Amino acid sequence: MAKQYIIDASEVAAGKTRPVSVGDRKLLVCHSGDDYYVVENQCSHAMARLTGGKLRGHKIFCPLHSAPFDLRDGSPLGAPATEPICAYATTVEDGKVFAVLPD
Amino acid sequence: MSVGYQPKWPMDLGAPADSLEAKQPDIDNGLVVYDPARYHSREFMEQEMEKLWPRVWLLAGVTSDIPYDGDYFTFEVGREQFIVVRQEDDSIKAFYNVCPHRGNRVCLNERGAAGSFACAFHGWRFGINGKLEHITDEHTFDPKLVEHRPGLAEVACDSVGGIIFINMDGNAPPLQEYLGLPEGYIEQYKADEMKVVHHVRSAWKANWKLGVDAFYETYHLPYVHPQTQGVMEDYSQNDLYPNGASRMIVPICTKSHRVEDQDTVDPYQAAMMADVGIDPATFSGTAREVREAVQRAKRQRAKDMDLDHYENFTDGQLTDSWATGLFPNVQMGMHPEGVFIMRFIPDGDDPELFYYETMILYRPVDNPDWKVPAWMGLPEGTDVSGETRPDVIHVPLGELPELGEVLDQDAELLPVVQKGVRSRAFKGSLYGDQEQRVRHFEAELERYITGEK
Repeated sequence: MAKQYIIDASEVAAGKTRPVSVGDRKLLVCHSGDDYYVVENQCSHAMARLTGGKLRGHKIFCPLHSAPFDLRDGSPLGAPATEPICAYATTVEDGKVFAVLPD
Repeated sequence: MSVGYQPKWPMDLGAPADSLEAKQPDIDNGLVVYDPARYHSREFMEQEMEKLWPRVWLLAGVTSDIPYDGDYFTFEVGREQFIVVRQEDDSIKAFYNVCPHRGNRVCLNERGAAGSFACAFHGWRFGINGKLEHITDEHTFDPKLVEHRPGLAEVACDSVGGIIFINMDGNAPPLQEYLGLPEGYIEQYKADEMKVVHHVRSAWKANWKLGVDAFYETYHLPYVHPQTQGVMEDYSQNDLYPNGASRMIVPICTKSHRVEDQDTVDPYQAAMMADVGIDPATFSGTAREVREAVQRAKRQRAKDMDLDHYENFTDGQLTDSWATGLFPNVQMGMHPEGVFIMRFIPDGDDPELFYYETMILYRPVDNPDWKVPAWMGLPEGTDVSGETRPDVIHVPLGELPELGEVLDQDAELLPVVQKGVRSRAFKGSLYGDQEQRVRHFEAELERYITGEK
């Protein structure tokens, strides 16, 4: 596990998502309200990218079939998803977004 | 109602004719005894499916549930399900939740936010405006088959005072005219500023109309809900409006005229006083004076807390329940602090099954001295900040909805009534004047079934 720099916070507009690759890992940075979340950029249902999914509070809705996930822990909140996505502990320090990623 | 007034039937609270509180002129709906088959026969259910539900405005939900473009909710009536979705231009559209390709549901959740709706069967995709955006492998379709660019089938959608309605066939009169209530009646509650804080849908083993019938009268209060006698007048003011709409004003914080002792304050009255900051221990008035005392205290509190939405309400509205019926399947309990929306939703297949759905709309007040009214019956721990929209709680058949003692009593009663109305001994309901709203509703339904409407 290591805390890694992901992106400058200013690169992700409020209410928007931004895909970022770190090594082989496809991540999605979500800026909802005042908060930033870093999650795996793949829906657990039909494996679609979550990029552009609508953000509402701590929820993201997959742009393909609207499956909702909790950005805080990745848990599925409704149909058609039944499996979680990965959500990573996220912090913002000096305008930079960091996430703790597994090795 | 002045201090010491003894309610007489017919009940008239005496509001001036130009007030929304005014007693409406009677409407003669005759003395017909309707065939009780309407409560259990499949044939009658099919007639409703064909002649009633597609032609009326149905309460779909509330605007505060879908504040941003792409926000949607779904709702069901009978065999149909609809998606109601906020558009980019802030308008609201509604569609059948059916993919025009092979009939699958395109939306699988009760609420959410979407940039488009993609069918999970073959991936056809539709905009939030219902228009077809994408056919998977379109080159494998003969162009003639899809040249009309099949989108989601739209239904008429309109809203009043923050409450959204849909009409399937698009031929119903304009919404305001259809609803039959005076302009401003619904709007005064500003439900668009309220938030759903509790939402329960429970299955009841009875016909949907038995639900409407029971909730449209207070005649049953002394027998089914005797605990209300110390705090509620069951002689309510009944008002009939055009197109099947009606209202009953149920005076609250007052004892029923049936209670002999009109002096001693009832424990429920004491609780209502405590709710608005009156100490029942030092209250020197009698039970007759509680309703006015609560009204005065609410006015004062509104002034102290700058709650300007109270200004437009009559004194009566500060205490009483304005139970407002919208044809065919809605009753709203309307209060300055919140609106209880009740829907009686038919099952699509079983005439002896309906869903009692209640949405509690609450007006969040940002003041540390404000207390959530106890009479709203919100479960402990309910988030009333309005920031989190709670999920719908689904209560299966045979379990009580736990919406408070009064509603649980109704939930236990109706399946028993359902058994009785099926008996060969039962010839049809006999409505008294205290049940005139029930007759008004059933008479309007009859107009749809017979083709008069």
